[in-house]
Amino acid sequence: MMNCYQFRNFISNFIDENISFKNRQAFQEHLNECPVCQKIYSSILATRQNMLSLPKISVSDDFKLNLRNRILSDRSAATQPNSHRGFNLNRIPSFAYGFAVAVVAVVVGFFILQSQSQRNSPDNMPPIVRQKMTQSPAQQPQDVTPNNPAQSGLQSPQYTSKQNQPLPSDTTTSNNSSSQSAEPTFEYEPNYEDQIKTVKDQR
Amino acid sequence: MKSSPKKKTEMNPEFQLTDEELISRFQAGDEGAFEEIVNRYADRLLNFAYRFVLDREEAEDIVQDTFLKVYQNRHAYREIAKFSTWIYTITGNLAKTILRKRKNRKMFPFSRTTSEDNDKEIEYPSTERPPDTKLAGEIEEQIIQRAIIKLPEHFRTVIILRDIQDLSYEEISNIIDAPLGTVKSRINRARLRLQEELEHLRR
Repeated sequence: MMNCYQFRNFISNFIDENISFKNRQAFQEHLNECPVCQKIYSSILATRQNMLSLPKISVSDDFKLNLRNRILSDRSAATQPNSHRGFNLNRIPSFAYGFAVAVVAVVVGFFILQSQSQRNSPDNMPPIVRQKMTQSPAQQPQDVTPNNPAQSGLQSPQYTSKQNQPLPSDTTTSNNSSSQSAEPTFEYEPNYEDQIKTVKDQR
Repeated sequence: MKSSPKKKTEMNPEFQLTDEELISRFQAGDEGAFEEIVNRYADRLLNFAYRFVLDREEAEDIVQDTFLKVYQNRHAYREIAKFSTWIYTITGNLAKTILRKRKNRKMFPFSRTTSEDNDKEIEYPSTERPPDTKLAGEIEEQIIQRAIIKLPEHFRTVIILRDIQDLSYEEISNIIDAPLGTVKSRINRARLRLQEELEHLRR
């Protein structure tokens, strides 16, 4: 027994007579019993009839003349040298313009971000700034205490700075500072390996 | 006396050449055979293209382009397929290109289109009821046309080819390059969908 789902799924086969005699009988039986499918069937048939009888249009009077002219111009264009070939804006499809704008925007954005990240990168800073940045603010007062053996061992022999000078209030370091003040305080001879080692040790 | 291949084909109404014989003669250089092909197919293709794009001028351009392509690519046709299938495929592809261009125009209104192009909308027939009841049939046609144009492209193609052009399932299968089973189910779904659209429009 055929149900409505099966009937609707194959209704076109029934209309176009693309089914076997046995199936046709099953379709007919369902059609006699189901008013909903009956309605769909009759409306499809009516629409099909209306579509077949839709008014036919004919080509215009100058259709053949225009076609002949186009063929002739095409033939003459084929025999002439191809001077019109080459770059032509009109041949570029319209979506290509949008795509080109998007590509340019992405490239420009990439370069802007790249330049900003380079400016903020620690590699671009002088080693003294980098060292300062790696030292936490809590450790800074301890750095100036020469009595701390762990901290005094960290100082590079080639590199001394003012940050190692004792604070005026710190009386324990006053003797040391007076001896160092005679020497030049800033001698910048970058020794990156020592600096890296220092930072690692500090951590 | 040896007859020239360029000699025009004079069509005897009692002895009509098949389409395949005509294109074969045209391939051999008989321009008269091409004229006969134009005579046979111009109106059929125009109606097919018109139901597709619903614009008479565009439909006529599509048919002109179709014949121009047939003229240019006459040697591309091989007698493995029916000529009607081949020529309908060309027209269908050109019609789809027109629809795609219309979509692009809507998506990229800034692209190189004249204001006239933008103003050129689909000529939807009016559904207003005219005073004369004799025009009820015309209204029905207009409603059907509106319902067809509302169908998705793949449904529209098969419904025009089957229910307006009255082509066989096999021919449609060759034109749209899909298996016969797909064509059957697509026609079935297209008809059911068309009924839904018609019901919606008649409310």
